[in-house]
Amino acid sequence: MPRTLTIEEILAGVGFGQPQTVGNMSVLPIIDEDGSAQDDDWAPPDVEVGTSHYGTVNMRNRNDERPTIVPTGAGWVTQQHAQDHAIPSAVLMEAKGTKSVDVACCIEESQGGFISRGAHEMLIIPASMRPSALAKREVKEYSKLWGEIQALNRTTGVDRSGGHLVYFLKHFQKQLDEFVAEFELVPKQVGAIVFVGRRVAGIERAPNYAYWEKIWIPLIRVCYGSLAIMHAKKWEGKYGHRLPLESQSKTLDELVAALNDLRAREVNMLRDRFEEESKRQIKCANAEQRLSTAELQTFASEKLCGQLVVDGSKATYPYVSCSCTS
Amino acid sequence: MEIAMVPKELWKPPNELDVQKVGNVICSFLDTVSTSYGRATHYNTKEEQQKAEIESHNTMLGFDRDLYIVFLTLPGITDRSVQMGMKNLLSSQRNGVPTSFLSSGQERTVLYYLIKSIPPPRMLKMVEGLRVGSEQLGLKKANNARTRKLILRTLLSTGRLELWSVKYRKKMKAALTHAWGQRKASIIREILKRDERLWNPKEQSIIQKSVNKFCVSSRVKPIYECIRFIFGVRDRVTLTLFREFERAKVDLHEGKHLPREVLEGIRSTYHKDIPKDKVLEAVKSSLTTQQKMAVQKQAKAAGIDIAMDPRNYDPIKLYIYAFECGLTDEITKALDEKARKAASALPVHYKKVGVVVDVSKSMEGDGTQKLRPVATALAMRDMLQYVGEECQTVYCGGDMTDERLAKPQGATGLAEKLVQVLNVSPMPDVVFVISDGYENAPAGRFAEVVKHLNEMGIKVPIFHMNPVFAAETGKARELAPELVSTMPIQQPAAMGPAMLRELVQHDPIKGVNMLLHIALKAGSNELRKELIHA
Repeated sequence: MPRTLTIEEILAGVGFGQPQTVGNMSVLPIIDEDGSAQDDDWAPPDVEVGTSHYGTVNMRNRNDERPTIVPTGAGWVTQQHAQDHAIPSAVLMEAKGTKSVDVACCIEESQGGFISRGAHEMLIIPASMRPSALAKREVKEYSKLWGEIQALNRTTGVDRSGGHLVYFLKHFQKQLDEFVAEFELVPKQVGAIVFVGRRVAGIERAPNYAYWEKIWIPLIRVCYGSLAIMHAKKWEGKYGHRLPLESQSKTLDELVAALNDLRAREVNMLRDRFEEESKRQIKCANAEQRLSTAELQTFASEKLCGQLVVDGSKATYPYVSCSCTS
Repeated sequence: MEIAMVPKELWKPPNELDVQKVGNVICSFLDTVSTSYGRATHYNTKEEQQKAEIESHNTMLGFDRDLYIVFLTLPGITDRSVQMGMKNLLSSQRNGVPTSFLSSGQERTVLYYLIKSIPPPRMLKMVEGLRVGSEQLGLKKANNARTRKLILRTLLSTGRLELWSVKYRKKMKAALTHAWGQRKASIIREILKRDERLWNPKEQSIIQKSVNKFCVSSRVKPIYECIRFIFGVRDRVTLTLFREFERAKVDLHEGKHLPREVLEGIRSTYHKDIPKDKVLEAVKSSLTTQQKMAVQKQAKAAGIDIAMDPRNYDPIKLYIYAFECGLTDEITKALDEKARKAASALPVHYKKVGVVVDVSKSMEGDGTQKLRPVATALAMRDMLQYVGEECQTVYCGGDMTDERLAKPQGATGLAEKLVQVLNVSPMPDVVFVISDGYENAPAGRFAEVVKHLNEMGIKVPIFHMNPVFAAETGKARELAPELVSTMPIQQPAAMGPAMLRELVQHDPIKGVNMLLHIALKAGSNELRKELIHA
């Protein structure tokens, strides 16, 4: 039965850390300070991946003891002469389990060949494509994201055309790597609210610290990093969350006070923006996958769409991943 | 602040050159050679790093060959930079290029000093690279008489030839073959197979010109035996390591003086049934200083006691070791001694020093240089405690459970920490900020605060010391461009040269001559006598 709830309800039990801001991107860490919201039943995603047909991704959970959630929009770009692929929806996998996803997306248009199975490095597809990928998650058409990839390459000035995500990744490799250095994991972190420009770009929450540590780099590097690059192209690097230091301080004590005040205003600005979003109603569709007492559901609000995992036995939401729709 | 005066001016820029340009070229080169390892960092690929390095070397060499040569002897220059520098020098001619104060003979002296300063495996790898060029190392081919003489002098006059013959025999064989040429190497091998009393005059002449000329005359017999061993002639062995090498094939315990890796090779070929730990136990008295550190964990697990003297290691290695195995009182004492010694060698002294140490997550470094940035930061912090009469230190981020061994953690909010370290009475005379240059709480706040401090009239000099070289800028990443000097630093010993960077920018003649003085003081005795004390 579809139901409604709010992001605020989903994130009950966790708090927020100090924001990090570089240029037009800010990250507000979601913190589980005392570990009470941890769900260690889920292992970080560590899967072997291969493709056997265009549009079919075969996965094996390498963790022998715990199930895992392969994140929404997980993708694999390899050095092999094989077509890179991504999955539009998250996948629940049991310990040692295998799964074939036959509604996967090709993200390398004119490259043929199948990916040999292996523990390939995972990325998460650009946030700008995730709503579209989710909307088409049940469509069996491997070319379904080519239009979005072409648009990404075009709007960001990549000088090669086609539905090849790897063109974007190579063109902006330096900037993408820099995001990883610029945004640091903090202790007890289990998620993040990501802002690009002055809007909430995405909300991510993991079941536990280890899971979060595993998916942070794929999220910040390509998923949200790509959005920051797109935004910068459009707005020439304006509209970040750093307020200017316009103090008239004459002593260092006054400067300290001015900095604290500035910081508080920056934090409040971010939290106000998030709060507005967190109180919106989101509509969840029926469960699409089940694993024991856990269910995967897709949801949408006025501005966000994504997926969550709800564990009926614990009344918690160990996993949330959503991006803005425009 | 006080700077020691340079006693003698060795270098002057060519008149037609812009002073600013001189400063920029030299500072960029110093940044490169003191921080670059040619490996990936948290931020750049290996290829990007190497391209930036090669460009920096070529620019400096083209600017002034003699400065290029002597700067390679500065404390804190990476081995990789020395390798690259040597290759550039050996593959290029001295005639017709800008030089200023060295003679050809003095250049040879420095080259010989430099080749001996590199650890043997790297030196032999460089020699191999000289023959064919090495794209990975950014090296051109250098196959000329000068190079061959340098190789022979280095290999045949070393007091460690017996050890090198058994430990690096394949590389030694390749190096000697390169230096002599394939044909001559075969001839020499055949001559040395026979008793020297049976050599004819022509054979004596060949050995005199190809071997004896490069070594001390009283040591020629052991050298002949080493060359025989290297080229696979294993009869008439008298030297200890060569005897043990043969005997250990029958009884592993006969090899107790052999290098660990050699005995392990013999074990895995001839004694597969004997466990690896037995090798460690057999050779524990002959382990190198570096090996003693590297095997501590394995030795402890196997119940073998291998003594390690922390005084034999540089402070960065000690900190990396401590992160893995714990910080003992002995290590702490060694770190303090080294810090005091490094501080005493600096050309500057202060009354009160402020230090901001970035211990955020990114200071953990990349996989290939794991923990090196934070280890460097902590070693620098230690040294800075002794640079002034008084010191105040604050940390940005970090797991401070043990402040001495602060672990990288959390975000980077350097601006507030800068104000904190200044907001004490009395205010420090100088502030050093040790950071990789990535700021996020928020980015740009540090530069804003520095600007604001200037407007408030607070003129305390601020130096940013960066243990990471970022290829995208061709230098160490800056926290506040044009407001704060950024010095790339890989180890405390490099701080003296790094602190003179600003002087080089604004007064190149004085700054460069100070740097030359430091380089000559730390480098070749011969050259020091000729150039400073003459």
